[in-house]
Amino acid sequence: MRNKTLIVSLLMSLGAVACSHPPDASKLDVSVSSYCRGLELELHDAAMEHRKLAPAIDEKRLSEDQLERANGELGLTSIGNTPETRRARLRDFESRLGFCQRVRGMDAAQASRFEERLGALHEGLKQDVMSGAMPSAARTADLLDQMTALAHEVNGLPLQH
Amino acid sequence: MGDGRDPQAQRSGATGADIVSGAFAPGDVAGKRTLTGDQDSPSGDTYIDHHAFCERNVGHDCFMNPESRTALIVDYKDLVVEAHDAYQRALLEIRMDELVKKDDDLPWFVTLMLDVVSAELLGGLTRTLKLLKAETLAALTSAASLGADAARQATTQVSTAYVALSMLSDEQLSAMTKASFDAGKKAAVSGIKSMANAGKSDAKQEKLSYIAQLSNAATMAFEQLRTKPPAQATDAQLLVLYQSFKPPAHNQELYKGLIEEKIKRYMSSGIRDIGRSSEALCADEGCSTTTAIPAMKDTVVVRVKFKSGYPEKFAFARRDFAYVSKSTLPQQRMPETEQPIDQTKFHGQPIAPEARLQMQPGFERFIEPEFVDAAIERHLEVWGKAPEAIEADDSTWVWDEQRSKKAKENKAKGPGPFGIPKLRLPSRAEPPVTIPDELRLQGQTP
Repeated sequence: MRNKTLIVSLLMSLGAVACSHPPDASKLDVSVSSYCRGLELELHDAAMEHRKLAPAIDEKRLSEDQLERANGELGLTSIGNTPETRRARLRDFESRLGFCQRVRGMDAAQASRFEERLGALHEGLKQDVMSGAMPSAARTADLLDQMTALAHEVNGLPLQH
Repeated sequence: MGDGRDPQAQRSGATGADIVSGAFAPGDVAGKRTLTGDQDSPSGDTYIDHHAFCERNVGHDCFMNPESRTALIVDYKDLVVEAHDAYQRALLEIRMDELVKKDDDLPWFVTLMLDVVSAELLGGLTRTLKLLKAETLAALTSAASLGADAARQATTQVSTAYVALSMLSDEQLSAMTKASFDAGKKAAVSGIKSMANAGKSDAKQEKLSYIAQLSNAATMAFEQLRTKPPAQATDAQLLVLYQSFKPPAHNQELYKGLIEEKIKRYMSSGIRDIGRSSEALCADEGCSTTTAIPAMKDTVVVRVKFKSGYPEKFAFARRDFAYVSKSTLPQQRMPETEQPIDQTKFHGQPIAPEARLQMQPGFERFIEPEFVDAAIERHLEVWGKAPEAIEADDSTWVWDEQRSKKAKENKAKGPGPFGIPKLRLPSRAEPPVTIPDELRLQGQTP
C-alpha cells in the first residue's frame, strides 16, 4: 500500500508539473532522481534486514511464534519471507525499478541486459515452482544486494528527456 | 560455525551512506553487522525473540488483547517505515548540498537534521497524549451513560485505558524516542570523525559524504524507533506512539518544510559568524580604503553563569581589536587560514593590549537552545579551546522577581562564586521573553 501510494504521488506530481506549469525539467529531474535513489536505499535496507535475520532463520533457531514475528518484520522492511508477501513485494520492487530504467537513456543492448539481469534476480528470489521452497534468507540478502547494484547502475545513467 | 558467528555477517560492505554518496560499487555486501547465535536472543531483535512488553508483563498499562496489540504493533512499524521513507525522500529532494553553500556548515547539519525529526516527534507525542486523554474521557462519559452489559464492559476497558494514559507523562515518551535519535547522532558523530581522520577528499565528494552520513544516521534512528518500542513499551505508550505517527504527520512535504526552515534558522543563528572577520574602521567621515584601519571582530561562544545561580546559558560574544594607525599593524602578514585561530595573535604576532577594543568578551546575544551544541562544536573547531565561562549579573532582571531577588542575595554574600570574568550585558538588556503589558508589574518599564 505504501509503495502504491508512493507511485501514485510521484505520478501525480509528474502530472501536476506537466499539466499546470510549463515543463520544468530540473524539478522533474529532482523528483525522479530522488524517487529512484529512494528505491535504491530501500533495496539496500531490505538486504540488510534480511542479512540481519538470516542466521536465525536459516539455521532454524526460531520458534514458530518467533518466526511469525520475523516474517512480519521482513514483510514490512524487506522483500518478505513467505510466498505471498514475497510475490507482492517482488512485483512492487520490479515495477519501481522498471520505472527507473524507463526514464533513463538506455540503448537497446543495455535495456536487454537490464531485462536479463532483472529476470535472473526474479527467478532467484521467488518461490521455487517445483519444490515450493523459498530461497534461504542469506541467499535472498545476496540477491537483494545484486538488485541494489542494478538499481545503482540504472540511477547512474542520465535521465531521458 | 566455530565461535557461533556467521562468517557472512562479518563481511564488511556498502552502507546506506555509500549508496547516497554514490560511493557504492556493485558487488559490495549490504550491512556491517556481526551477529551472534545467542540462545536467549536468536534473532537479536527483542520483539521477535521475546514478543511485546505487555505479553511478558501485566499491569494497569497493559489493557489490550493480544490480537489488537499485534495489529497495533504491525501498523506502528508500518507507519515508522513510511515516516523514514518520507524523511529520506525529503532529504534527497531538497538537495541539501546545494542549500548549504558553505562547506564548513555541513558537519553540523548531520546532527541538526536529525533534530528535525525528533523535535517533530516530541511535539506530536505531546499533542497526541493530550488528545487521547480527552478522547478516552469523552468515550468514558458517553459509555457510562448507557446501562447495558456490553456498554459496561466497554466502560471498564476505556476506563483502564484512561487511567493508563493519565499516568503517562511527556517525559516518559520523550525518553523513549530520544534514545533512538541519540543513537543515530552518536553514529553520525563517529562517522564524521572517521571522515575527518581519513583526510579531506574533493569538495563535492565531501559534501556527499556528509549527506550520506546523515542518511545512515537517520536509518539507524528510525530502525531503533521501529524495533524498540514494540518490545519495550506498554500498551498505553504504544498507543500514543502509534497515533502520533498517523497521517498526515511525518509526511514528505512536512519534513521538507521543516528541513528548509531549520536551514534558514541555522543560517541566521549566528553560528556561521563564529571566527575572525575584519571590518574597516574610520577615524573620521569620508575616509577611504587606504586610510581606514582594520578592526577585527572575534566572535566567540561564552558559557554564561548567572549570579542568581539559575541554569547557565550559552551566548555569542565579541572580542574586537583594532590598530590606531597603519604603522602599528603587524608588518609581517602571515596567511591566517589555519584553524584553530590563536585568539591572542594577529597574523602571527601578539595583539597589543592597547589594540583591544574591550578586554572581556562583549555580550551579543544568547544562542537558541536548538543550536547550542552546534555552536560549541564550531567554537572548538575555530578557536581550539572550550568556551570561556563568564559571570552575568541578573539582579537587574526585574521582569523575573524571584530570579532578581536570588541574584541580589548572592551578590550580598560577596564576590562572584565562580572566580571568573564578568560579562558586560547591555545596559538595557532585553528580557528573554516578551512580557505582555497586562502582566507587567506596576511602574515597570517595557
